Amino acid sequence: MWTVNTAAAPAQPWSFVVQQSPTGVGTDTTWFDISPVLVNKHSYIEQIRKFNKDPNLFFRVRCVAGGKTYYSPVIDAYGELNRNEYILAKEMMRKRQLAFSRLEGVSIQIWKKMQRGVPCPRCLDPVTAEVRDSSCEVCAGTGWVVGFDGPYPGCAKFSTTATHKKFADNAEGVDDDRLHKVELLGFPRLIRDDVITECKSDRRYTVDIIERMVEIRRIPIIQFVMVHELSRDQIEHSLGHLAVAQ
Amino acid sequence: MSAPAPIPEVWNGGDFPLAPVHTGRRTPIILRSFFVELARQFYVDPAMQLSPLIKTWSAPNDKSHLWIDVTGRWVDGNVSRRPALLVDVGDLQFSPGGVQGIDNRMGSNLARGEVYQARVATGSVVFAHLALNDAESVLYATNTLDFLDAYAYVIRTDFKFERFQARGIFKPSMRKDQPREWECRVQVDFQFQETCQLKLEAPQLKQITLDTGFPAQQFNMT
Repeated sequence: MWTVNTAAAPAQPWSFVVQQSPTGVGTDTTWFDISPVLVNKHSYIEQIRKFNKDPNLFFRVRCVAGGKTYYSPVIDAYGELNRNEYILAKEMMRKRQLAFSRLEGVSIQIWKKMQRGVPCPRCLDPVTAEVRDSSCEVCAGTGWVVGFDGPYPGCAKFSTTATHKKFADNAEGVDDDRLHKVELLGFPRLIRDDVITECKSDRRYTVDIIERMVEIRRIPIIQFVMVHELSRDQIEHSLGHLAVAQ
Repeated sequence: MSAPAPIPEVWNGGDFPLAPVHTGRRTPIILRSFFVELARQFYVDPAMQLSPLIKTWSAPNDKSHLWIDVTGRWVDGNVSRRPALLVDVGDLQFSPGGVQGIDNRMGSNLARGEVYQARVATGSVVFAHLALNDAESVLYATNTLDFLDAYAYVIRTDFKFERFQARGIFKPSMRKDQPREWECRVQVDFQFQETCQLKLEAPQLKQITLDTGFPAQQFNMT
């Protein structure tokens, strides 16, 4: 449900559309409509919806009225803070960001793997919708055109946990797995297969495990993730160039 | 694959010339190279592939989009190299090819001091297709299976295999230590017969002639 500030209300009719995004920020390409156009209605109930466990539920309402488009603030489905708690969370994040930037962190860019969008016309199996090319130039192996949304800038602290170069099973090639623990702010929330780029060295990492999260009333402040370093021939190293080419 | 050129004799300046081991026999080292080269020839032409999504191989191997190599090779540098096709030649089992089925003796020519031997070798080779998701590994394995089915007769006749046929294609499996990698294997069974001719000169062995059925590679070592 939503309300309109009648003090500055534009001329009728008002058309509303409920939108959802996996990140809560970004351009219009990350937001997609989940409701039909609602004319002069202030609520919407979805009848059938399937969710996974990823906390990627950010909503807003788009209003078209008087020839202009308006957007509501973005809300999160998992928690809410009162004003004091919001200020506290903001201060905690600010101080942590200061520590990252001044002392112990490096500049990073975050690429969010797309979970919805235009299906890739090149590499998806027409029947099973499986991705048949993990280095597809159109979808970067995700199955959705463009493949990754971003980059979102930030800072993070890296801790190397294990490096082990050895023969793979059956001596089929060499495995060189480099595992790192990364600490960064809680926004945007990371999920598996998101990509982190270390700006200075251009090393790229794929997120594997969300190990721990510091939260206030389910609003993440700091997140700790485990990442694997990607080798230079993988398609994630083309991110940035891929997005521009689209 | 054409027959290699005759091995030249290397004269050490002494009484007896030296020559390297004959490379016409299908020893494991030859078989590994043979199957790797076979796989590379399958994937060299983009027009011959099952799907336009399949990457092709081009020399040199470390700069190719598709990595085709033997297993057991330690690679430094960029170790990801996916997709990949790795060739694994299995055990070679020998069975006697002699007339009595007991040993390898086929016969002898006492006047010339020659003994003829033959044996049957049976083995298998696995083409392991590695990719970053299961559908991709199955796609490459299916492509290889198509080539093997199509060229099995040609390979048998041209390269003197008594048997060369695909035994099976196995369902893709996730690799244990690499959760983002999938593997789909195609297994091929083969069998061939090897013959050789030993020339003995009493009282000591002075001359060895190895004839493996490729006339261009026959040579004498005295």
